[in-house]
Amino acid sequence: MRATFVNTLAEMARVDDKIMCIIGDTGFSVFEEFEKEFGERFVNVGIAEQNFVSFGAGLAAIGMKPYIYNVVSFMTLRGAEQIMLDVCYQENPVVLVGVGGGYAYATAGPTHHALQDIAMMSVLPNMTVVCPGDPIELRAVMLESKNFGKPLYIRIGRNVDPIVHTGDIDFQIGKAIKVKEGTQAVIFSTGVMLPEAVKMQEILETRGFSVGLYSMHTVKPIDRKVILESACEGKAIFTVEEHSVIGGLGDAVARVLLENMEKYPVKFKKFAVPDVFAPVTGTREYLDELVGLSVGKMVDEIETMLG
Amino acid sequence: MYKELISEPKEFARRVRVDVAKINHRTRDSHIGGGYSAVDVMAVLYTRILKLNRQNLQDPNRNVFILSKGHIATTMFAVLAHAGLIPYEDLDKHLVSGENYAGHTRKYTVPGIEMSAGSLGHGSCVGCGMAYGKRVQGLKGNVYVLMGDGECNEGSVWESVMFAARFKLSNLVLIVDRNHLQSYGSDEQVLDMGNLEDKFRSFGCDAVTINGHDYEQIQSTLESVASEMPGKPLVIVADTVKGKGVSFMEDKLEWHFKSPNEEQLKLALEELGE
Repeated sequence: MRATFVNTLAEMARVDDKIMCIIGDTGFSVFEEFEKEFGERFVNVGIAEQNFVSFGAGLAAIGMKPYIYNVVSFMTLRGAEQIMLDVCYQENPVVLVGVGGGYAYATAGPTHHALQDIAMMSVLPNMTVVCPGDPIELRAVMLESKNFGKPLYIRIGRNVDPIVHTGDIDFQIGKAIKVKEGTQAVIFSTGVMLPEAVKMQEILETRGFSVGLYSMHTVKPIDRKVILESACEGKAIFTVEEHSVIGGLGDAVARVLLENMEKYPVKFKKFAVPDVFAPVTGTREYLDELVGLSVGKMVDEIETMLG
Repeated sequence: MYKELISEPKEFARRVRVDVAKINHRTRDSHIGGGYSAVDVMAVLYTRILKLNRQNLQDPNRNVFILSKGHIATTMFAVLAHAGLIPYEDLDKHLVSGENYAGHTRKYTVPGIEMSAGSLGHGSCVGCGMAYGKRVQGLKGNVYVLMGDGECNEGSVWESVMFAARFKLSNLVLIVDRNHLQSYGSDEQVLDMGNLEDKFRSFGCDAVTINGHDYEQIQSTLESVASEMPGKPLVIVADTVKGKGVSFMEDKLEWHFKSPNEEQLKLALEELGE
């Protein structure tokens, strides 16, 4: 997704001279061409996340359109207060692009695991939280971001993230994208779990279950309409995310369901990372398997619940 | 009613001090000491340097003043009132429920407030963004950031200073209100920061220490800023006295927070020539 990000940004920056790209000393071999082409509209702030975020806020305050790009965990935790006070509180339209969502940097260990960011960013007033499911969605949110005019957090994966959408997509921030129809249940997936969710849907279909799938790229504001449509049809609802079980997509969907529990009682299960630091070293696949986020484990649980 | 801008910084500062004492007497919620140490610098900025008026507050070429030590909101509002940027009567709204004049300055709610403040160590970073953004867009005007000396405990200040020097933000002026008292003790007791001027210079800035209550020195230093060409950012360490202007408040830690009672107000106003 990094390449999609920088290529789309370069394309946008060619027609809008307010667009800037700010990095925090990350992205070696990703930004060199951008830097060469746009000169002082590219800035490496150094390893200094507080100034990194607030610098972006200052640029926005004086009329620029800054895209600030950094590793999710450092940007959203070290720079959390700056994001809250200098970006959100002051309504500075900064686009924060976090690279390495979820277990993208799995073997680097828990300092690099990004499992709290959706919760952290969602709780901030004025913030919108988007986790594109594939490079096509990333490109779409980038194009929409240029005139968004409000704080926006975009959580991306790392390098090789497979393309899921083969045709045109109807992308709007805050509106889930239907990937598959299904009558018995529906899976809402956010971010880099989308390819896994596609596999889950396919396996469940071969086992005789009709399961729909949506890419819930926007976690805040959550698409209440699509959740309630599924709930009112009595479908079981599943959420899939590479994020803590606390405060992510699952909780956002659960809030909507709970408020409507009396009208639409539904079966519901969230698949997310339990509230623990990874106990051992592991690849993304290894850790997903360990915490129950592998395709096989999730499919089995859904099968059990659907009977 | 909007006040006419008083051209003399000394009289401007005196009137601000008078109003701050009266307001803090009413509100019983104060950061009067750090306001009084900074007000002379602010007076010179608003009477001689910034050239702000109600018509140019949105002009992208304006001078930008960022109050990073946002806890001296009372002083800031009094400054804005005497600079004719907000109605003078609005000072009565300070800390009144339902109104916009809070205990820390907030952007958008009050004209002339460039940055919401309250947590320390943000102003110099946002200031870097605004100064750099001005340069990229070819905009005129400087960015002035007023910080506390205790605020320089914050690591983010030094992140931004390194940045400002590296990117030659000569249109950025950082002013440190060096009153030597923090909230719980003297700077030296809390974290002895030593010679701040040397520290800023070692980070790559131009730095100068001045008497922060000497109007002529403040003015000549601020006027020396040459921002047309990229160069070193300037840090002005304004040596000041906390509570300056009212003898019983001067250099007293408790006047970081204390508000004048009836008798103290009377004494303060007398000393301030009211």
